[in-house]
This record gives sequence, structure tokens and C-alpha cells, in this order.
Amino acid sequence: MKKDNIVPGLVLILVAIIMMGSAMGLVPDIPWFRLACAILLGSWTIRALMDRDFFGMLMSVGLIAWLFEKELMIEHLTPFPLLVAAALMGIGLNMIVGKKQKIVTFEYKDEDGQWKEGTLDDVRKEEWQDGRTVVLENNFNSTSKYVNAAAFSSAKLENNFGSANVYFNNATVYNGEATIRLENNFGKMNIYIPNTWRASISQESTFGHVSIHGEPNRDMDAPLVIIKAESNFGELNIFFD
Amino acid sequence: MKIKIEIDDGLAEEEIVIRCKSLNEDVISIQKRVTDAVNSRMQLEVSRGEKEYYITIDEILFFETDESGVVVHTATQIYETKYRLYELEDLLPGNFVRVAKSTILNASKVRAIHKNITGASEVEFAGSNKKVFVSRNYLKLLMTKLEEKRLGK
Repeated sequence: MKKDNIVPGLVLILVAIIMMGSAMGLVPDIPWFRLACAILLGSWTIRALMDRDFFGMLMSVGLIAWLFEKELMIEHLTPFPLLVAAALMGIGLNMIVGKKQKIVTFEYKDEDGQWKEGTLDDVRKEEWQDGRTVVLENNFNSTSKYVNAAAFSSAKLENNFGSANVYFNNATVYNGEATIRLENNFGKMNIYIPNTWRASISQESTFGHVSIHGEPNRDMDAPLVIIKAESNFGELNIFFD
Repeated sequence: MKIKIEIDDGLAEEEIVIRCKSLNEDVISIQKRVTDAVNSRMQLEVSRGEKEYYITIDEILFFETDESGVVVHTATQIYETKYRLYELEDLLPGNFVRVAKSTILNASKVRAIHKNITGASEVEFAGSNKKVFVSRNYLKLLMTKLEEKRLGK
């Protein structure tokens, strides 16, 4: 279960139930557009509250108040005085109290080859220790990454709305087996893997595609790379060169 | 236009002289093409691991900066060079053009360009699967260079 998606998921289910109820005459007439906006803004408020983000919280509350200005009898305050006040208060509170730091975790292989979950610092520590783990996250940018690890064990590469070329040509697989996890969202990713490596590839795509060019090695003595590739609304090419 | 070859045993180094009435566009174009032809035979010292290699400039598809330095791509190999990109810009013949802050490519090896109006365009090379992303700011320069090449300027 994806924890981040629970609130928006519940909101969508709730909207669907109310719509069906209304269609069957079980729910009284409701101003649909305002209600849908209020529910979405409400979920935004809850998420901002969980992240201790006062700006997000006050802005969404301000927007909800604007939607129901007549009922709340605050028409003389909307939209600008109300929204500007909410923005300034949110910025001020964030400056004084500070937003909760979001901890992003990654999966990586430890020294014993076991998958672990840790922060970017943990992963980097691992990378600095032995050069086995490679992590790349590219957002809205064009980038090239050269994996030159002498004992390459695992890589987690993610591209969002950008373009990325990643070359494994000068890497040496540690202990005969390595894992590469690829995730491409709304972008383009080209991965170059030596054709001297064996490969086991699993792929998944949603409105995108994963293409494999060339052939990996078939010799059972060759190092094995296990590739898990996912492409959503984007193009992911794997070249065996 | 006459083309002559004069053989002189006494010369220390081979020499090409263009003799003309006035300096016009045609003469400049000839000079540029001769310079490119001479430079394309130039060799560049590159390395991979412990080994040093000498490759001709004409084999190179593109140069790109990496965390560790500048990498050199041929159709099948990746090497490293001690030169910085700005040094290479001065050193390389005119068919090499900068296409991003971190990339110089060999325009004479370009096979296709996938233009992307929202982001970086992608260049494909003849005889290789390798691709390079071209920043929007540099795309016009590359297109001009390719057009010049096509018209033989």
C-alpha cells in the first residue's frame, strides 16, 4: 500500500460514492464543483498539516473560505485580502516554526548483498564505502551518468520529466551479479549496458514503453545483471552495446 | 581555378598556400574545408583505465563532461581525456560544435535530430546507438552548422 496516496485515494472514493448517491436520489442537491474543490483542498490541508507546512495549510483553508464566501459572509475580504493574509501568515509561520523535513528513502544493497531501505545519506555512505551502489534521480533536466564502479552491485535510476543517458560500459560487476532498477516518468531514458553481460529483464509500463536494443550475452559464465524497468508516460531504451 | 602540387624536398613541414586575387567567400570556404580536412587527421591522446590510446579526431562522436573529467565517445568505446571542454573548443576543427554546457559533438557524424519543442532535442549518430541531448539554446547553432555542411560552405 502506498502511504502517500491514501488521502487522495480516499477522497476519490468518497466523491464517487456521493456522485452515485446523488444520481440515485439518496443525497440532496449539492453544488458539485464547489464541493469537489473543497474536498481536494481539504485533502491538501490534511497533507500540509501532516508535513507541518503552514503555507500549504493556510492557503488551502483560505481557498476553501473563498469558495464558501457567501455562507461565511466574508465577501468583503475575498479574494485578495484573504489570500494574501493567508500566504503571509503561512510564510511567516514556516519561517518561525519551520517545515517538517521530508525524509526520502531509497532501496539499496548493503555489503552482504541484502536490499535495505535508507535515506539518501545512507545510500551515499554505502556508495562512498565501496563504490558498489549508484543512485541517480533526474528531474526536469538533461543529464548523463557514467558508472565506472570497479565492483558494481546495484543501481537505482529515476528520471522524471527529463532526459537521461546512463552508461555502464566501464563498470565491472561485483560477485557476478548486479541489479539495476529503472523508473522513467514522463521523460526519456537511454541505458547502455555492455553486451558482454548476461541480463534478466522485467518490464512494466503505463502509457509508456520499454525498448530493448541489441542482445545480451548468453554465456552462463558471463556476469548477470537483473534489470527491473518501469516506464510511465515516457520512453525507456536499454541498449546492449 | 587551378590546383597545383609542388614537391620540395627542402621543406621541414608540408604547406598549403591558397593564392587568390581577393579574399572572398569562396576562398574562405576553401580554406575552412582544407583546415577541417587536415584537422580531422589529427590524433587525440585519450585513456581508459591504465591504458593510453591515440584516436583520430574523425572517429569521435562527442565529448561530454562527467564528475571525473571529460569523456570521449567513439561509436563503440568511451575514453577519458585530460583536456577541458573549453580547451577542446579551441583545439577541434569546425565540424565540432557545442550543443550543451557539458557537450561538444561532431556535426559530421550526426544522422538524425529528434526535435522536442518542450525540452532537449535528441541527436543520433551514424553507426552508433549513442545519443546526445541538445539544449534548446544551442539547437539553432547546431542546425546552422548542419546547414553549412549540407551546402558545402
